[in-house]
Amino acid sequence: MTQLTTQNISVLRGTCPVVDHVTLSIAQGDFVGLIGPNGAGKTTLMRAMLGLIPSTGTASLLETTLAERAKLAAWMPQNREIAWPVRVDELVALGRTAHGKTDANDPAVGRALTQMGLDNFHARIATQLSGGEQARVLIARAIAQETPILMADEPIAGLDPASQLATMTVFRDLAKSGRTVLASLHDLGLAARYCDKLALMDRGKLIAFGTPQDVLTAQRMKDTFNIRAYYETGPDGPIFQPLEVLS
Amino acid sequence: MRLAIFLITLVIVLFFASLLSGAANAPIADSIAALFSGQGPLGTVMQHIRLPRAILAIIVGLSLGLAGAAMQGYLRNPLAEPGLIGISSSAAFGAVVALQTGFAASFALALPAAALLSAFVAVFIILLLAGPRGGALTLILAGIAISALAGALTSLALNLSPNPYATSETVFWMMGSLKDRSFTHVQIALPFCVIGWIALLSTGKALNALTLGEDAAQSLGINLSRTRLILILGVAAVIGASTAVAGAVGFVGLVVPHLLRPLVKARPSALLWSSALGGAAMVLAADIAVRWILPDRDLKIGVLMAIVGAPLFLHLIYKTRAELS
Repeated sequence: MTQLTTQNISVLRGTCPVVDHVTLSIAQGDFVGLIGPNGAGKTTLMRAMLGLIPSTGTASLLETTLAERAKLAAWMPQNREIAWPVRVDELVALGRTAHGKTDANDPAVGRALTQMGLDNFHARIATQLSGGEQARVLIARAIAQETPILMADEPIAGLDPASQLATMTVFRDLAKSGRTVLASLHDLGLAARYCDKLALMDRGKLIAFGTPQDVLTAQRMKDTFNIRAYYETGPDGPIFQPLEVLS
Repeated sequence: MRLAIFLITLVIVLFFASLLSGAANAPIADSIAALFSGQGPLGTVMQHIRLPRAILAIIVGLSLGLAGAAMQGYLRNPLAEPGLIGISSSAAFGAVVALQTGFAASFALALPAAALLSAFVAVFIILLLAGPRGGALTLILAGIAISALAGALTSLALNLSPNPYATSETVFWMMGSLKDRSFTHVQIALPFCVIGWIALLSTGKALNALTLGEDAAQSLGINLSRTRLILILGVAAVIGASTAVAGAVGFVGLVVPHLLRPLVKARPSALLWSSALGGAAMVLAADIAVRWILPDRDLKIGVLMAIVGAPLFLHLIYKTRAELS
């Protein structure tokens, strides 16, 4: 069953297309990494898919109302805002907003905190945590929404290696359990290792969509990122390492 | 729950203290008897001077506290206050024009009506400027522009005033006071305030979600455009009506949410009702204080609030800085 689709979706900033006729179809249970250089339109595409900005074309989520959408897709924006010094469990409980009550004792809140390794953080004040801990709390908030779709904008940026690996594992496990996960990523090594599929964007266009091996070709790395990279399929998964900037 | 009981008790105690404060130094038992009987000069004082004054203090305080908490929640900024979007300065401008042109003297409700009308014109312009999809930043910018314009026009009206009496009356009015108010003032303020209170209290869920920022709140199913419209109209109704009957009373909307935030674990929705009650208590207390401190000199409540509020606010900033470092 196809769950997350866009058909010719475009976003204009002035007269300049930031997202240019992107057609994408993500199957249920896939963990898809959205990759591309800075300014490729990754964030804009995801925000347009969620109806957060005006766009032309169609997307599966845009056929739903705002309230229905909140039960279908959770969104973790890039800017990790926590405006007030609230308790971690109360912050994570905000993920339950669309389901009615935001109760810190909701079992979904406990599950999400456990999944992110934050069992001892319930009573901590969110604004007093380190940047990496805050990022994990905000991922827990999105997980607590318990939606079939999870979309995250650079969820592992600024995390230490252990937290990056743990977060990617959580996303992969969520996908294995039947959820659809779309995350923009700059770490192509982790993207290659953990994602089922990669969507490569450049200058607003979708350049390639497929398995990491199909997408991360030497030619595409040269054309989009202007880099040379090493790619190998090892015994426990793909290994991707950027090597140098091409002149 | 304990906080709610405490604040409600505080408001009730201060309400009765306000009823028993004033120039007519009558014994407490006589005052209370006169309040219910309405007999004699003391009955007139209690029912027609002190009762509307105390009720207005509650209405104005609830409005200022609630609007402050709502503005801070929406803008995610502890320095936000109702005056930020220019409603109070616009209402003050309307009142100044009414006083300067003599319109205020034409009928009893002319002054508050002019203030309210001006506040709603300001809201209309702010909504036009900020646009249907504009975020918090465009709202602040539009509010600052309107606030500056209203301030400049108020100064112009005072500058060109042909009548020194009207000028001094205007300046005193702008300092804010609850003195010599009647049930007519309660009648004009209350309907707008009740509508505004309901509107602002309904934004609690959206303000909670906004803790995570505008994008995340919207993805949680919050209609931000509608929230913003309800918030602006709610603030306009309560602040327009409050300024219309009591003049400009600052600092309540800024300080009260700041004081109560730690007691409600920083939940924006809980801060709404608690700041409303806290605001009512603060304005009641200030209105009692102005009668006790300088009984013969008509100390203005706005002046007292600023004198007490500013150092209190400085202390809060100092404390916050110490906590952050």
